Amino acid sequence: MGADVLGVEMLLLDAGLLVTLYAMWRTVRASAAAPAAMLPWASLAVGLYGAGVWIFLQPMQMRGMMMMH
Amino acid sequence: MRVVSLVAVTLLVAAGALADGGIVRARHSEGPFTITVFTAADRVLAGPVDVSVLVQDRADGAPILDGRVTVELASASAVASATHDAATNKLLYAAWLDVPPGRSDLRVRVERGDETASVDVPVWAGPATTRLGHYWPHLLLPPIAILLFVLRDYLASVRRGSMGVRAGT
Repeated sequence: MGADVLGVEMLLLDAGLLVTLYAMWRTVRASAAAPAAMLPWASLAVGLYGAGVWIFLQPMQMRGMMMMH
Repeated sequence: MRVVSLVAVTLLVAAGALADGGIVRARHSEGPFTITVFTAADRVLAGPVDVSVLVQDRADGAPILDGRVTVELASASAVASATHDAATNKLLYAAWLDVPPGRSDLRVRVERGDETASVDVPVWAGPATTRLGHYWPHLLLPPIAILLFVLRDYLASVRRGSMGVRAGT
């Protein structure tokens, strides 16, 4: 059961990243900015996605441990 | 709006409550003790497994903190002393045990003075695979979606370009 929940969590992270990138792309297209202007924010979004995946891949007891040190 | 509400309510449905990141593997009353054995909430995999034990007074349910608790695997002849220091929740005794793949019988023994009690807990450990090894297909979704989106955008621009050339001629 826990494994299935983790799969759904990962898919939700995937969806969050894709929606974020799409919103950025729409914003850039609607403005006069060059597409490269979204790169820093896209990097931040990908970094947050990577951090989320890393946390989800930790055993349950290890999640949030970094905050406690 | 109704669909959004339905999805929101569906996501709120919980399968069960898990306390302190662990699930109860066994609960047994013997002599003056009630012993509850926990392991991590996730599927048990071969390798180091965190085993936590709650020892209570059988009569009033008060936690017993001055007992001596050992955890052993009969099949691997491994014995570990469970302590409060190793436990996040200081009401529990905890120890790490190396569990081989397959079925193992975990024996938890509690001693306090002349009183002893033990409980056997069957544990099925899956093969030692990393979570990343199990969930890597989920990580392919964003790059594939981005690739398809870029491809669609590129084809649309090519089509617009060719239509512009045709209109100009």
